[in-house]
Amino acid sequence: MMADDLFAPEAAIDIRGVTRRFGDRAALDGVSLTVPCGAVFGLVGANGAGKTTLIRHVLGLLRAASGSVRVFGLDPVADPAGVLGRVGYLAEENDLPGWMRVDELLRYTRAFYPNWDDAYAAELSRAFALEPAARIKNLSKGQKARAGLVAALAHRPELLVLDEPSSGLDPIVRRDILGAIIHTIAEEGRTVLFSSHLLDEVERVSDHVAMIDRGRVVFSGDLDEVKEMHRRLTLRFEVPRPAPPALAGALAWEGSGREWTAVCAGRPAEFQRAAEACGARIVEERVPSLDEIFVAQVGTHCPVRGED
Amino acid sequence: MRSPALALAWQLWRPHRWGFCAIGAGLAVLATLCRILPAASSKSLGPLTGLLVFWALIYLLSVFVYSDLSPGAKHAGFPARMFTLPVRTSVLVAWPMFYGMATVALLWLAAAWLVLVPCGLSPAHGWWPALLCAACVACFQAIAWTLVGSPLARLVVAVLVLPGWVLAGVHSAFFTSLNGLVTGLVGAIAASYVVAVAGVGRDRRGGTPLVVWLLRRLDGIMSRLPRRRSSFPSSARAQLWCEWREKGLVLPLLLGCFMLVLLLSIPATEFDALLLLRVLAAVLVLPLVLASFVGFGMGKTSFWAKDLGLSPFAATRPLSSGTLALAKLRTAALSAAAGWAVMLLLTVLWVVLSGSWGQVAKWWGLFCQGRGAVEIWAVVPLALVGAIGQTWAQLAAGLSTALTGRAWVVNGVTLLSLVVVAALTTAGVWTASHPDFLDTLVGVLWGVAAVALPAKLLAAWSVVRALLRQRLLEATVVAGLLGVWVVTAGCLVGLNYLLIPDAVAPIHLLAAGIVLGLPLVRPLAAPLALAWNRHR
Repeated sequence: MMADDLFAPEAAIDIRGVTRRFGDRAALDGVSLTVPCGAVFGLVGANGAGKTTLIRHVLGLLRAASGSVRVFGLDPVADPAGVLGRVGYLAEENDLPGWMRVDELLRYTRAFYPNWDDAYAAELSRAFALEPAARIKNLSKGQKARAGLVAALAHRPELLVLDEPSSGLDPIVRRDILGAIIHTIAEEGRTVLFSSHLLDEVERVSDHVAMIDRGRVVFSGDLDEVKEMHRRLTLRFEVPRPAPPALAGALAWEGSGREWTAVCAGRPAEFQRAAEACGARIVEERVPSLDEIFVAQVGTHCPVRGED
Repeated sequence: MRSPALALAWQLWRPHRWGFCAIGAGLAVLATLCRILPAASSKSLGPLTGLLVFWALIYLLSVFVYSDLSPGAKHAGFPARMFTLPVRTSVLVAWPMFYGMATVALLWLAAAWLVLVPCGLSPAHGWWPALLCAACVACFQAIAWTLVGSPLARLVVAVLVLPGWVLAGVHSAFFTSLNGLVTGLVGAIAASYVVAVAGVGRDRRGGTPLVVWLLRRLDGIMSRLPRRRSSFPSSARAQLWCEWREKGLVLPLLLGCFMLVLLLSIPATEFDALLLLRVLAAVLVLPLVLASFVGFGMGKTSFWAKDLGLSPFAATRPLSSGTLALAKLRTAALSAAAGWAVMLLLTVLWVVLSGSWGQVAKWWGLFCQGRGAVEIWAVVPLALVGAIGQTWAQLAAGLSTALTGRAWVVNGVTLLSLVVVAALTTAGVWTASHPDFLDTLVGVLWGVAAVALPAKLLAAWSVVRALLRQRLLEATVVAGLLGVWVVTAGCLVGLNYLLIPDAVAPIHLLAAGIVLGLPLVRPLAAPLALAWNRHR
């Protein structure tokens, strides 16, 4: 199947206006997203925000009710073999067949990918201390994740899709997964899309990030630019305040009395003027972490709209 | 809800309430018919009631043996999540066991009091089957919670034990006193309870069942044996290997278990010509009946999965939906052939060991009288190809239904099949007691065939068009599937032509029945069903 000319050739994934409802609930609501080739794209959001639904659309496991999904210019529903042959996938709910032995899993998986690299598979298996004769169902959760990772990586996929790969795993397995992502980045032209709750991981390896909340994309773009568009401001007031003020761009507040701290979105140059307008001075200003931005965007501690 | 007994009852009731209601509604309909129909006609309700009770019993067994059956689960006995409840093991076991026994006993009593006794189909004192059903449930629960750790081993034990219970019931009813029967059944219930408490208590303490321990040791030995390391020649072959290893052996294994029961029954049974004929008929019918059920399991990602949806691992194989479905259809063909091989080999062994060879040879001689050599020897290949083809079609129809991934489709097809079987059975029984109805029945059947045959062929044509339009299968592969169906149908028609005299049943009527009864649309639609499930 020919790649669709309407979609940008430099995009590994191009999602346009995808909407998906499960009953009355909109799991995705007009989502548009572009994952450039060679990017490490982190997908963050609260539980039930729509991350897994979006990834399932990318893999063609869900059909977009409206809008379109293209992976390397191909429709993953119309041409699943064409798309999935170029993708390595590791899911949170590791559903590898429990009856297979590790070596059987690798022998079976190898048959689907012409680019399968036996030497790399052996190297990864050794590094992860995978016992070839062990049955998958008898492996620990971490070892199962490692076996899945070997199967996802050994054919050197052009796109690696990881859906909450580190969820519930110990730090050593998480390190292995991050190492695999970094290794994949090091190889020219490979793209990684991964969703995670562990925002320090996302911040560590991603160069692009998108946040989804209740089926909508809150923001998406270069990680540095996203962080640059946010500020964590500590404001001091002359008199104690029972509630935070109304500050343009403030996403979330915490504090009490004279000192209040806000995570704000907008142009940093405008924050000083806005603070003065509400009778406060900025005593501390810094770029927030992705974790702070996430909490501010999704889980506000105080009402965003304060007193006038 | 402050009592553990009520909480456990609610846990069993809530997810299965519609199933319980369906059984109750079925009994209510039969009871109403029993009162509406004239006395002579109400006897035809017997097979229908038997069918309902049989299905309900199977369903209730699956409900009350409520074990964790998740694919790949390390634990497959009593639900491990319940071990942390602040309830003694004896209580944890007693209530589900009591509810199971009470429900199946009530099922039988309701069927007897509402339908069988009023219709004159069962003596008023025939309450002992209720106790037999209750003991059967308790025995199954004890097996499921104690003796076996793998779903397959459990199914094998169930297949071995169920005929044993039927035999026990039949023999007890006709050959021993009622008191002896009751004592034996109560003893079986008590023993089941003690065994189940011991088994659940051991699981609760983190112990390993003996069978699981043995299986692990066996697996350890197997892991040291040399395994194939060469690559698969193609991805389609790899998928076929995966499907076969996962589901291919279920049908042959179940058939082998049935034949094992038959072989073990040789010393205890005297086989006269009639019993021999019945056993051989059962041997012929069983693969076809079992194939319908096993097919549903083959359509799922894992045979034991409760979820009908494709797992992400299976759905993300870089193959087209047509290739994935073909691997399943090929596995079904291998499974059908292996099943019949097991069945034929063990049947020959059984015939020899049971001393029935002479009787079978006599029947064969009778069959050969007045027939030419070609006609005689054509029967064997026709029967073999027809049987394997029909079994494959049954498996493929079941797997195609389950492949849709929609419970409402599976339930709908099951319900429709039950209605058709019940209607045909009732019509057959009615006609047996009212021979003058035969002409009317044949007329009705022709009428149904006149509508159903074109509808079936039209549906098949639509499916073929969709397969080709969506490029799920190559035209040659579709032609191959159609060819398998035509050859199977041809063999079955030829076999019926050779075996059944035209005076008993005209060949054109049999041919119409075969064309209607041999699944065509669902096997063809397997790739469409898989694509529907894969891209939701």
